Amino acid sequence: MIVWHNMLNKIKNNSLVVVFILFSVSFLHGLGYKKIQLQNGMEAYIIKTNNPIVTHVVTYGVGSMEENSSQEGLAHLLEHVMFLGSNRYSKDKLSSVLKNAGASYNAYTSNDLTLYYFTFPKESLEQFIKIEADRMQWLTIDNAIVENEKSVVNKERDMYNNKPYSVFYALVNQTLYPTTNYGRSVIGYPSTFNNLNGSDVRKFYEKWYNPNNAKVFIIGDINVDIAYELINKNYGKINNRTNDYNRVNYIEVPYQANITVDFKEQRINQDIIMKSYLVPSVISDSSVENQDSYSLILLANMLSSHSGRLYKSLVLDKKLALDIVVNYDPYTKGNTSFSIVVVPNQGLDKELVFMEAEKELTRILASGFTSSEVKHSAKKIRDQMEYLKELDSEYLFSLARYVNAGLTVEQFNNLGDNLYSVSSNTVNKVAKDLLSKYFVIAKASKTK
Amino acid sequence: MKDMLSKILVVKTLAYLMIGLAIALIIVAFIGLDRNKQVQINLEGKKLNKVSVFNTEHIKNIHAYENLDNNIIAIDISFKGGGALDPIGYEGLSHFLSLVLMQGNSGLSPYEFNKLLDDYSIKLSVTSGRDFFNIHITTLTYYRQKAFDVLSMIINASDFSPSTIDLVKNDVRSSLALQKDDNKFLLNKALRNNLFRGHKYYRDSIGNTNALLKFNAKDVKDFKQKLFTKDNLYLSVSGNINNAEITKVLDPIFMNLPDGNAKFLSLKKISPKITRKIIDIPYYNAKQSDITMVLNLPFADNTSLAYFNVINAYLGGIPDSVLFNDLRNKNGLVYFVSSGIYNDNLSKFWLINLGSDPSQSKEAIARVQNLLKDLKAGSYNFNDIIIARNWLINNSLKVFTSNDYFSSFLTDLQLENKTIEEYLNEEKLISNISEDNIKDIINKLDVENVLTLRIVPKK
Repeated sequence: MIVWHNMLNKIKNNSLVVVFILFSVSFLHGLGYKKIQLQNGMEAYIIKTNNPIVTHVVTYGVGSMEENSSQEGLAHLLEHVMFLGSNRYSKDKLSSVLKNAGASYNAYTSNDLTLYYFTFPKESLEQFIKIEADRMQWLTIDNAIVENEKSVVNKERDMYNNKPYSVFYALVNQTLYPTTNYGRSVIGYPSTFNNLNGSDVRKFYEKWYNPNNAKVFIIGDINVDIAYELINKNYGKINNRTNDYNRVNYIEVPYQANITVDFKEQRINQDIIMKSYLVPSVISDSSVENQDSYSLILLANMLSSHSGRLYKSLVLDKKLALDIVVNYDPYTKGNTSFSIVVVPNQGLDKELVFMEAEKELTRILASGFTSSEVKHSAKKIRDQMEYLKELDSEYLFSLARYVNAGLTVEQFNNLGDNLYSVSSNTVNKVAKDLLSKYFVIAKASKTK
Repeated sequence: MKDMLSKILVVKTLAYLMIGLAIALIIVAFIGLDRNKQVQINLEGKKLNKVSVFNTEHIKNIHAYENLDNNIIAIDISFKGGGALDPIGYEGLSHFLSLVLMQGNSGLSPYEFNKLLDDYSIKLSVTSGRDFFNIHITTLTYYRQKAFDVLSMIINASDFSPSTIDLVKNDVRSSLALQKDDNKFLLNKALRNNLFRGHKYYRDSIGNTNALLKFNAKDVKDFKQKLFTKDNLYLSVSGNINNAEITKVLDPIFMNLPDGNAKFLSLKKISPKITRKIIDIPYYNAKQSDITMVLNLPFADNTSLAYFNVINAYLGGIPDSVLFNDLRNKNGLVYFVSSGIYNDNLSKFWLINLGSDPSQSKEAIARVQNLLKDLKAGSYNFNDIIIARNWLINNSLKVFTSNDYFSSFLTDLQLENKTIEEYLNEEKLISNISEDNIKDIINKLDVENVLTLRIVPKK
């Protein structure tokens, strides 16, 4: 059943290259940190732990959202080019340094941001700060490099297109976000992507890869003062090429009617039905103290729990479904989706299963959750974070995403407490509001 | 005057030559040093000297690391044997058992069991591979007693409810349906078909629809009782718990396990021989050709395997390897390429996996074959091999940074019949690897007989 969770986690985030464990909720709990604002506008966060393996993350506040219609796939293509050498670190030298240190590294591009990471033994900290600072300023970009990398990206797209469920989710994403670029494929479409050249990549790089649009996060067994000096010395001297970031619209227009997507493919051997609502994220939520988005976090947790009422009714008692997954990604810059996915048992009519699921969902949401159910859900999320604290890299990826989305570290710190402060009345009101909204129904099944 | 100038010039030239020679000697000396430089193993970071190995009355060789850095305890338990031990006609039984244990025990319904895990935020994973059966449980220290209760249920209570069996059958039905048209599964099936036909290894560990229909609670219980024995138990703990408590709480959990059943665990020997062959597997309108290339590994001793591990890293086992740089970065022939060592008690192979555009798959395969031939002919960069060696040793430190990873690592060592000392000796062996060691291993490689399996679009 895990497979469904993994697949569905990818829908909203629509990220490429790396699949991170993205917990619904994260908060810095008991770990000290230092925040630095460099003169060029770059923000740095240093967190001290006992881990001899250091994780270094840089995020740029740009993803596929900021591409125009002739640039589709450009943000992701640039992410690939970032690993192919810069002024002081040619491709060969970079490769040699990474391997000598035993580094792991990768990156991902989403709609909202691009994230790069290195993990390495703590002794190599200075080396990796230098590499990242160098490629922030002096990336090697030419047509030959870009053409070769386009060929690699085209193969990456083919890999996704080879999987029927990936094609389904891409289609669902387009339908969920008809007026914003959230619906766009991060990897791009061949018709426009193949026209991109070195000059396009350079212009995008020079426009968006500046210190005032970047944040650095470091965690591990490091001396905080030394790390600060290294950051200041290497990142602090980088000049911005621009201060002008005209961003596109991130807010999707509410649906004016219910929409249905019916996807049929010969390789689909397991039906899926998915009901999605357009809802606020923590960032786009203008309600007082984000109570709506916090309520949605708790709702998603309660509805997808294997000890929850929806799962018990549909999977265990009525034996209609194999799994129920509820997906809500609250940390996007624009509004986001709240999706309930039903995986019908083999041999059952998916329409009948979904009708029963609809009835049960309506009954549960209309009757509401008790105060103890809501508090229990908040407690579970706190416990998950206790586990996450042990894993520096995953912890940092979550933190980087929060902060990049516009939350402060203090908001991030207090998120757990905020969830505890949400009353069952608020959760139940948000649940009822959800039922009154228009939605998208998406079905995947085998071609007859 | 002119003579004098000439003399000065000659002296100057000689001086420059001498300086140049000295610089060259220094560079050579440095290169030489670099080539033989040993990578430093971070023993402190690996904490292996702090691992206790001890017996309790009912458990042998517990490997335990007391970690006071956080509030987490991870327990990793393995039994040798998995899908390969499924009785004939009952393929998938071991996998089925693993799913059953995740859903309910001790008379608890799946709902009650999941609620217990949920209420106390206990992370439980039960998995069955072909050769090993693993239970991994992680708890926050303040809920540990509940986690020990869950573990006790898994080990001791086998009264599986009919609702649990039904639930798991639904799950397996879905998995079987999903894999039917999965390109990776089809490739793997073809690989098993070519290497292990006629042996239990040929079977798919998830099983099949016919076998699934037969499974009942008694089959699962009987299989579990044969697999879960004291002599077949390998257990490690990492986390905020001391040895005295481990003994007190874990020993009683395993006291009722029977002694071992060596006959049940034995498998027929198999020595597949790879010959040069390309097999195409038609797959719908495949957008990507997944390719697996298989080579014989003509050695089985730990020293040779340790050295070969470095060669594998250099060629395709680590990021930015020779294969990756050549096929992806330089020639744009693949999206991914990597190599790995397939190593079990009965057979050893070298596997290379690629993902290519179907129209370029032939070229990609030919390129790999040429690079293998170059390697065999001595065309390799020893300094790059040393760098790959450094990656292996430095990157391995990661294993020791979480209780989950560390406890699993300690159990894996036991399953490989290795002591901590032997592991460290192998690492020392790698850190001292010489060019002669590399040459010796490469000379033994057979790069001509390559079995190639390739997904191609249906015509």
